[in-house]
Amino acid sequence: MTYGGGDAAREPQLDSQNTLKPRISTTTNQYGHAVSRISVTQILEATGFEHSYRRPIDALADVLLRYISHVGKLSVSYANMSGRIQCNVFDVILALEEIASVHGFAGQSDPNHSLSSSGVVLDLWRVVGKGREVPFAGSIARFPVTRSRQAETSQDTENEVEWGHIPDWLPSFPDPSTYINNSVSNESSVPRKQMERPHFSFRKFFSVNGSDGFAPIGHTNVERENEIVQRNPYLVPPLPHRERQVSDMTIPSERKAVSVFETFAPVIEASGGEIVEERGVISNKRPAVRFRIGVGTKSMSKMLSLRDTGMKEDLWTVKEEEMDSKKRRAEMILKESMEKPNELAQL
Amino acid sequence: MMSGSGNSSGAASTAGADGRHDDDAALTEFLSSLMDYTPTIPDELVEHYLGRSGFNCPDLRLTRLVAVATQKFISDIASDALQHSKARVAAPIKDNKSKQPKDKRLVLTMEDLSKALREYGVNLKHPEYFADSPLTGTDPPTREE
Repeated sequence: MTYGGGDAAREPQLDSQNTLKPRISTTTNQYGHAVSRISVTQILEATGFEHSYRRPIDALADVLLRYISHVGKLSVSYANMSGRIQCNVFDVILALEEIASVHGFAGQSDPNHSLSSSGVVLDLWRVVGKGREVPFAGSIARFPVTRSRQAETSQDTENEVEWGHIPDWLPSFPDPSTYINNSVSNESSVPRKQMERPHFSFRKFFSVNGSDGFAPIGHTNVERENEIVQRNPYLVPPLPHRERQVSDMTIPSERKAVSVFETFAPVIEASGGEIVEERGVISNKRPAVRFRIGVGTKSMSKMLSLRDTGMKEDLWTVKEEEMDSKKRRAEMILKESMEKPNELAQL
Repeated sequence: MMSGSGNSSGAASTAGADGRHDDDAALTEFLSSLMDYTPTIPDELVEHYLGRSGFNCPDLRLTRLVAVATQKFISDIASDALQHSKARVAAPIKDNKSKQPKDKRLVLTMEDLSKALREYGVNLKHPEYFADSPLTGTDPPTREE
């Protein structure tokens, strides 16, 4: 039976190998789906089909798996309704009858019909009796394959009491002292090593390599954990109230008068200019600023002349001269402000 | 009369008990015959998917029973789809000038399968086309040829 490449007009774009990957979520589902596709192909061939497209085979494989799950679910529900957890043959027959009730089967109308000779069972017997056996192509192993878990440590099992009603595959109970509130017992009385460690650690799950405060699960013990807590200030438990005395904040009452020279000293030092010591101090009340348009004082004319000289030379020297002029200007402004505090300030 | 009715009811009950016994024997025989029959669906696959649904039974005969039931279900769908496919091939061509000659091969298509599944309560809807290629929407045989 040929397995067609697919109905290209109705399918999404195919890659160069003309393959189409179905959207199946987990690995176990992929494996089960692949095996069921082989079975479906064999059944279609036995029915009489010569060729098929890929999509119908995928759809039928999906239907096959859903049918098996549906039969299982119904059988379990019938067993539970009878007060059992293990299914028997009558649960399966009832489940098959419920599914076949849509189409109908022989003896469906009789409410007291025997399950052993149900029409469903007779149909299946007919299939088996025909003898047209088409065994599965190849053989598969039991799946999913489970890894053998490591044996638990002796510390966990040394205090184990064997309970008959509790299955072995459940984890062991924690140490009773961890959950029993006893006023007499304190932390030191309980040996730390016997305390149960969780198998899953959020620290390990979220840890980043080399980050402080996180440690691999295999090597943690209480001392190590204490060290980690001490190293990382964010993991330190909060201090109780009034344990540490913190001084009150002192707010300065008044602002002291600031000397202009002190404020601008680093600028002047960097420029390399002379520092002219002045005793004048700027008062808190600053005079009103009025703009004066026009050349009135020497300083303005000096500034303009400096600029003119700068223009005739090339770019780098102009910039240097501009820097010098700026420094000189700053000095002159300071001088004037000292000498004539009442006069108008110039920009 | 009481004894008579008692006797008749007793006879009926024994007959009923015999009938039940026969039925149980038939079922036992059927289950044992399952071990000789190898279904197309492997036991491991059926066991896995039954286990996922909570089906807990160590008896292999029940697994085989479910496998045979599933095989019968799929083969019923396949035979219905085959009927639809044969009906489509055998139908007379309405338009003699049509470009597409009838395919005499028996090919399982989504159309036939969805028609067959609808009777079993499974709604299979297939998109007509994916609008990602200039040739979408054209008929498949013309593209194949």
